[in-house]
This record gives sequence, structure tokens and C-alpha cells, in this order.
Amino acid sequence: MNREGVTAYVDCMLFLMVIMIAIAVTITFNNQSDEQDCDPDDFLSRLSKTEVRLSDFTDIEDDTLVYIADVMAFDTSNDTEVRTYLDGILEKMFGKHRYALSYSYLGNTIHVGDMEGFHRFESSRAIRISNGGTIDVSVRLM
Amino acid sequence: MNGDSHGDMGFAEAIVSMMAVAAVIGLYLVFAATSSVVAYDPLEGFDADALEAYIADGIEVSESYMFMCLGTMDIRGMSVSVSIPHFDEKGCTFSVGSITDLPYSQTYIRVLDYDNGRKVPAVIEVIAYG
Repeated sequence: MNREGVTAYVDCMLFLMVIMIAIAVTITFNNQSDEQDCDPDDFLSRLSKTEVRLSDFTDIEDDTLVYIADVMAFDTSNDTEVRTYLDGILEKMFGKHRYALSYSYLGNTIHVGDMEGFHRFESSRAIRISNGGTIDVSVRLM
Repeated sequence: MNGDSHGDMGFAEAIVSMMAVAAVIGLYLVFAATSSVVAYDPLEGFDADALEAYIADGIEVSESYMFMCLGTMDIRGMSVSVSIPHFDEKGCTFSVGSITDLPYSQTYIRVLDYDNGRKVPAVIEVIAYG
């Protein structure tokens, strides 16, 4: 026991608490830098500007240019290649098992990606499609 | 280790406490060193939207912005790989400067004009060499 009445053990515990606070501060600053790398809102914003031909991802022989949101809405009730396309983009951007995308239209929901449970970033938005309706799209990232 | 009437365990307690403190501060220093390496971002300030990339008639990337990055950032070389999922998976790679053993990569997405009026996402992987 020193002059202040503090034993070495108590002194040690106080030091451990200071170290834990320092670790928490370090982790907080690291997470802030990660947020710049993974921006699901930016991803959805860019994705909604994509224009493709209807025949690119469906069996329909129609070369009309449409927004990808239209193809995604069509995909909810008709199995098309667009979900594979989206899966490929997400995997290249964020890595395997680190993303989950879902989109729903008229009660039908499609899930892309096999990430489950905890996620760090999430964004959702309703994207307007050509027939005046909207498709709800959400993306979660690890 | 039994404490005395003041709860003080003497020399043994001092040794155990010192070992605990040394172990924890050692772990923290390793953690801090690892974090600083991870937090180091040589591509800080890189603007993927400022990179002039064209995919309509084959993939092309203007190297002027890449050279500007070499001049303003603390890097020795840079390579940019552009691929177009579904349409051109293989893509193309453009490099400036020298390639070293210290690569740092970052992936960006841009929606670019493609053929026949399409506007499709291009995945741009930028590797900076320190």
C-alpha cells in the first residue's frame, strides 16, 4: 500500500480501465474511416442510374432501354438473370458473404447474397419505376 | 498470497500487478500498431469520379489524373483495373509509376456510358503502391 492507501492491485485495475478506454477510442476512429469505404446509400444511388436493354437480362426479345429498377421489379415475379448480375457486382465491390441485397415489389421479395446476422451499414430507398410505381430496395453491408 | 491487516500483499502483489500491466500494455501496443497500419490510407484524397474512364468503345482510362495522384500523394505507382460485370468481366488494367511490394487497393463503382445507350456500373479497382 502506498501513501495514498492504494495497493498495487488497485493501481493495476485503474491502469487496465485506462487501456480499455484507449482501445474503445481507437476502434471508434477506425470505424469512421471504414464508413468512407462502404457507403450503401452511394451504391443504391449509382445502381438506380443504371440503364440496360430489356433483352440483356430477360428472355424478352426487346432492345428497349430501361432502368435496372424496372428489370428488378420484373424479376420479382419472373426469374431473370438480373439477380446474378447484382450478386456479381456486390461481390466485386464488397467481397463474398459481406453483403445482402433485397428488393420487393407488389409483395414479392427477392434476396441476393448470403450474409446473415450482424451488419454494420444499411440503406434503403424506394426507387420509382416506369409504370409509376416504386420498388423498395435495401442493402446491408458488413 | 495473503494480505496483511491493510490488505497489502507486499512484494508478490507488486510483481503480479507489474506482470499484468506489462502484458496488457504489450497487447495494446500490438493492437495500436496493427490499427495504424490498417488505418493508413495512401489513397486518401483520391476521387474515383475525377478519373476519366470510358467504356463505350473499349475500356480506356486517361492517365493524366493518375499521374497527378503520383505527384500529390505519397505513392510510387498506381494501377487502375476496370471491369464491366456481365458485359466485360475481364476488363483492362492501366498502370503508371513503379510497382512495389506495398500495394493498397480500393474498389469503386461508377456508372458509365456503354454501347447502344446503356449506362452500366463499372467496377474500378485502384491499387496504390507505397
